Amino acid sequence: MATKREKQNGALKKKIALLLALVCLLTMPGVFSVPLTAHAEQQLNGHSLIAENSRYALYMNEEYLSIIVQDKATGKYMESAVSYDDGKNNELWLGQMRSGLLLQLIYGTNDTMQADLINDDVTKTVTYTDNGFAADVYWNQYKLGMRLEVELTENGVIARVPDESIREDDDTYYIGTIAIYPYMGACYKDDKEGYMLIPDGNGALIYLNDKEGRFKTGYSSMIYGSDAGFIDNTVTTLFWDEYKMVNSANNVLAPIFGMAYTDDEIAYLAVVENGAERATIEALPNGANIDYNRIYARFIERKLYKQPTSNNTTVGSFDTVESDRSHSDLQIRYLFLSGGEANYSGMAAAYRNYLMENGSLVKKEDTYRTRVDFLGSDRESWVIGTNAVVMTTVEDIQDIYSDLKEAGVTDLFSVYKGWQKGGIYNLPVTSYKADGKIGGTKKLTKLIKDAEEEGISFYLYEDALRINPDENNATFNVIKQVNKRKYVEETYKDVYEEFNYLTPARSDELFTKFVNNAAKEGVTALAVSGVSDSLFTYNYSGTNYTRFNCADSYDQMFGSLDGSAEFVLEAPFAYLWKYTDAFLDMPLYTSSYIYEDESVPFLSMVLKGVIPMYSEYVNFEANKQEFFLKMVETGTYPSFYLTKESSADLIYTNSNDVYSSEYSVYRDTIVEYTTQLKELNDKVAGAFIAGHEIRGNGITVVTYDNGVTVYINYSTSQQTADGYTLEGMSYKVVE
Amino acid sequence: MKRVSKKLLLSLAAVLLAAGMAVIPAYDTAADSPYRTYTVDGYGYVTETQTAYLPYAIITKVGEEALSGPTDFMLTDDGLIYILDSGNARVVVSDRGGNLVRTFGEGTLVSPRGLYVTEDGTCYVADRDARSIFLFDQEGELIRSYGKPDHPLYGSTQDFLPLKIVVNEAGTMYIICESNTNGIVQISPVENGTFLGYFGTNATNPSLWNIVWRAIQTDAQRAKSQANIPATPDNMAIDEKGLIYTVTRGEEERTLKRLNIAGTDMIAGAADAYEDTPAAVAVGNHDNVFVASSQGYIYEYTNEGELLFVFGGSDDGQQRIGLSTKLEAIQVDEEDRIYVLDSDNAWIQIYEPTEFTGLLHQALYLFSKGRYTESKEPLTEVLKMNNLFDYANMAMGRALIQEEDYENAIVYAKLAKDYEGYSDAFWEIRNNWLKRNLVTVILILLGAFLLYKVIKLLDKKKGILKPVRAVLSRIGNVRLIRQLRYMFYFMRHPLDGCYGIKRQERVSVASANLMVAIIILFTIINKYFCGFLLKTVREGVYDLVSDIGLVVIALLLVTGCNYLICTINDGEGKLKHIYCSFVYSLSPYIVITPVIFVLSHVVTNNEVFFVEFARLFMVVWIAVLVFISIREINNYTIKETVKIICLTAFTILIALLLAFIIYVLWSQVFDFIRSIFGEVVYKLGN
Repeated sequence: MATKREKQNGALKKKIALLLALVCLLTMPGVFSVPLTAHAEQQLNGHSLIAENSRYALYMNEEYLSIIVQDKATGKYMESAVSYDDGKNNELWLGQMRSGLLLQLIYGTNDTMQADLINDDVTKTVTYTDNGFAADVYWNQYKLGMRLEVELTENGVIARVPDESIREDDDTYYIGTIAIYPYMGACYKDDKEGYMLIPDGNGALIYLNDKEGRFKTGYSSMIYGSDAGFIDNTVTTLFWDEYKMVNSANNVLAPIFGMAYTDDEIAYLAVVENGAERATIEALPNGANIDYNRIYARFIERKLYKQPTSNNTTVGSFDTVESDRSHSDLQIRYLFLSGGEANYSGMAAAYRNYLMENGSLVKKEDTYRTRVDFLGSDRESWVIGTNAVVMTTVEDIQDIYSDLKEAGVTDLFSVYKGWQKGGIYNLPVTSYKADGKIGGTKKLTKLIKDAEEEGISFYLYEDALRINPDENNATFNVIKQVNKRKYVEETYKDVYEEFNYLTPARSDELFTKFVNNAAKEGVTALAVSGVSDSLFTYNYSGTNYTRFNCADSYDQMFGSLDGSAEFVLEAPFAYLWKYTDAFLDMPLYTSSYIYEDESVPFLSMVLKGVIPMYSEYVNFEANKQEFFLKMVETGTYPSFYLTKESSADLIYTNSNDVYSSEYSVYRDTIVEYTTQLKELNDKVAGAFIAGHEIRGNGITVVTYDNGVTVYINYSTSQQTADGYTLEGMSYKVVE
Repeated sequence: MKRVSKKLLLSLAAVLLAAGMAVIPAYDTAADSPYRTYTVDGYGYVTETQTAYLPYAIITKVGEEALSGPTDFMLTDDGLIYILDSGNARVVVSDRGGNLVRTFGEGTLVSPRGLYVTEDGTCYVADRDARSIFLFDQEGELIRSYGKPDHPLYGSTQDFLPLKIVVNEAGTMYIICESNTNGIVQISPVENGTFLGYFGTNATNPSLWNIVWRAIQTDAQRAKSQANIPATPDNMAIDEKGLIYTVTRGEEERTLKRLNIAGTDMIAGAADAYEDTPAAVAVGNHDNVFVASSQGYIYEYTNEGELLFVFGGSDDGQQRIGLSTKLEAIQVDEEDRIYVLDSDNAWIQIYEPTEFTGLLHQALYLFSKGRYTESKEPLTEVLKMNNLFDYANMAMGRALIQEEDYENAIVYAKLAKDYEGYSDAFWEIRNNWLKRNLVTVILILLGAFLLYKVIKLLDKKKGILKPVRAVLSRIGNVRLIRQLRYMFYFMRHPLDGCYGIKRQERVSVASANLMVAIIILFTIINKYFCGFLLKTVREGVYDLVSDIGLVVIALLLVTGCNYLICTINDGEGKLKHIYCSFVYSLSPYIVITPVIFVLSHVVTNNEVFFVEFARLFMVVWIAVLVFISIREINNYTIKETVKIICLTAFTILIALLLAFIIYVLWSQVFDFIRSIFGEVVYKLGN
């Protein structure tokens, strides 16, 4: 739906173009004497055609290095430099909006200095390749340079800045951040119908409608979570100066973002292929500074940090810049979609195909199971040292299994937490030794064997990242922040007040030792947390390491152990998906940003049918029925955190946030959920989600590629959809 | 036309579909809260709990009318929202869906700050700069206005700057005025507004320090002193019974008050969790009270001032749903939804209760009506969802006491730290036990007594206990044991006892040290393992280092300082003697503490008196022994002894002060060295 203004604008542009062409004809007859290249013939909004294939055409402007990608079938396109100017933007903003590369420079202690291709003195050398171009760019004033390579592929475009091409020839200006095509697909207010997809939680949409200036800022979140190596600059207000009242936002689990024009039926899903470990996703709705909707990835090269010189961080500290920039190629792949695929369902399918084709995602055995996790033991303070609080012994688990079996529940998946000697927070676990209080190693091994025979997936839980300085020597092999201060994670609990992080090398060493030790007893199924959802910059014995090093270490660790054990990972980042047999703690919601218009189960749509996904614990959900419907919608399997004893026993332990977990309380819920969700998931076993639609009256419709359709009614009143009647807060499966 | 957020628009569409429905159904596709919900446990410690309220919708515009700096609003039973659009000096009336009904007050209002709507639809507006209360009828026509009360008691120099207003059924207005510290102004509608007096005046808190300070101040200084001026309430609410709820900044644990007609605060105990910057208060449907903090926190209390939940928070620029910037007013609708007015963002945010909160409200209501047995069902559900929810545990305990299930009741009472409930249940359990076992106990006692007599008789005749006695006397004659036993003598005969220490070497430093060890042991046992009712520390928390340190340091300080003072005041005592005599003076502690310990396990609140008496007795005894020791060891007169005690106390004070100063100085030096080190390391590292 083109607006009136746009049409006028378009008409005006045509006239100007005609006029220009006329002027050219009249004044420069020499033009005709120059042989035209094949590419230069076609123009689009000041861009020349430089490459094309069967589906897409790539246009480029040499001055801005901006590009336009056009769907040849429909003629619709997305541009990286917004052609419509509302006249309200100054030079700096226009430079940002049009330039193919946008840098933030660090000059002294100022890290907000903009450098672009338009406002600055830049030397460009463009060479054309078969499928695109490569441009060497040099900012003469700042003595900085890099090479931008753009390539048209069968299903989109790849934009890349190779690491070795980045030059900082002077010590005055450093590159803070680099954004490649920051305005790819950007559009003015409600000129286009559609949305931006942001990887918040499971996935969220920001509509391309007029926001009426309601939002001052937009989404800005680091891919793969925040960096523990830096002191957080944002001041969090603590309730009563002590309690964290606002939850941290969800981690970005996958390095993706998307833009869809549903009216033009053109969309892209961008995958940050290289450099994602140290990049942020930025999505700004119109009204945040300027009236354009834009979404992009920003690569961080260097950061300022506070170097304290005394214990009192507020007084004795100075700002300084990292001594070296991070080293990685920066590469974004835009997967373009058109027609009926130009929506978030299409994006999810495209991402799934992409991951499976390059081996980042492997199809795993996926049958319905209910996840029942157990807490073995934790510690509470006693007069001298600590005292064990035993919650679920090995025998208790056997009893619970046989009780569930009697009730007809046999499809179970279990993670046993706090099985190790010294309880759940005696970290790290270095050998296969169960706590005597829960039954001892022999009984545990027997339980694992028995469970295996019963067809129950049984995993031992291990946090491979944290070390408990109260129980183990944490003087060496723990990470320091970039300011060379030991990193301390505060728990705000009574028994163990803080934890440290092991260096990735040490994690690898200890974890490998543990895996080998357990393998000797035939125990090979492990649930791993900590390393699965953390990445950090760190300093160890005088050397600085980046998040890239950290990710490489973890990748190698799992890579080398692949085959000697089976792993399930807790909320794993995308680069580890290939190693996990199941996705634990899949987020079902978003972080509730006010500018998010809709929450969509994007990650679930990518992973459903590929690897089994288990929800976060049902125990702690206040609205259980709604949470249940969310699981129906996303194809996620339910998770329970169980103990034999009443959770009131945990009141003086570090696990005192487990305020409800007693098995007898949850037994009926487990049976009920299993019956309903097993029936549903058996019908869609192995199938992918093909479509997802949110209708106005509280109805959500999920279609699977095997023809099964699931209707979910989130409203409290009865609704009808496609002729089916749904009671309030219920769902219906149609084959 | 985007008046309301997406969710509400959807809801509205559904309302139109389901014609005639009064309730806006919650269609929710993104219902996770960005904030945490906390409650407090029996020790006043904050613990996390289930999400109690979820963000539901936001009203950003009423029709096409944008709000500007709204300061107050009110929900009425006919489904309307009266919003005081202060920036535009008018009242905007909206329905619950954000549709404009009408606006009024333009031209009349100057700088309105507070609003109240009565059941008949009369709207009272408190206008600060117009120095008036304006009354509008249902159609928004101005009916009348009230100005400054013309009454000698009001004070002729007192300005009339109304900020907030509530009105009771009789039409009596309660008005909070700026810079009027006398209290809430009460005006009756009769005879064009009769000033009835001041109401609910906050009291000043004269601390001991203030009293001392005031005594030495001049009159002029005293008049200026802030501490003399009672705080004006910041906001108020009125319930169906006409009780007035006020919130006042800076009143600490008395922030929230529930005032009856006489102006007496009916919240008996102090609230266990209070807000420093309360902005508004509202009364709920289940004998609950809501307080909004201007920082965005929302508190729910029982009408006894016990905290149920606190949630929400301030938005630090993240722009997440459910967080606020500056709250000004709070209201609760008949569905228990909470509406809060954010004046900075000029919107009304609506929260809806979760299943958990719904159950809790049900229990709360039944419990407050005394229907304990009925309340057990929702309470059980609540406890299933949160085993550690303090209020539910307390209520469950009380309900079980009503049902005479004391064994279970005591478990809940202990979890909830409900001392009263625990005491009641324990009394009953003890009583039952006594009833059942009284005969057995008497028989056992009788049997023991007879056995004792028989053995004694046999011993007399045949000396069967001779070997036992021999062993005992051999043990008793071990030097250290003999020295220890001396404490029993010392306790009863302090004069002779001191002589024994000073001249006869009846004790040694080793035996005194052993006694200190015993004292420390008893202190620790009594502190951490005494009966629940008498326990002064939080369960599950142990801090042995400071327990031991405290005893040792106190003893060393007293001995050392006393020795220093005695040596320069012609005291005869040697350090060893002073130390030993002090330690032996503590003998009653060793003897009586076990008794207190045993008692603490069997007494209820009714008999706590015994324990307190035993403690007092012990303290007095020790004091007497110490006094006599100082006198005897140093050979002082009574007058000299008193002087020495005072000097010793003073010396201890000086010593502590010195230690503090040295600590502060050294920590500065230490930090300085660290800074240099830190910089050197940093520079070398680069």
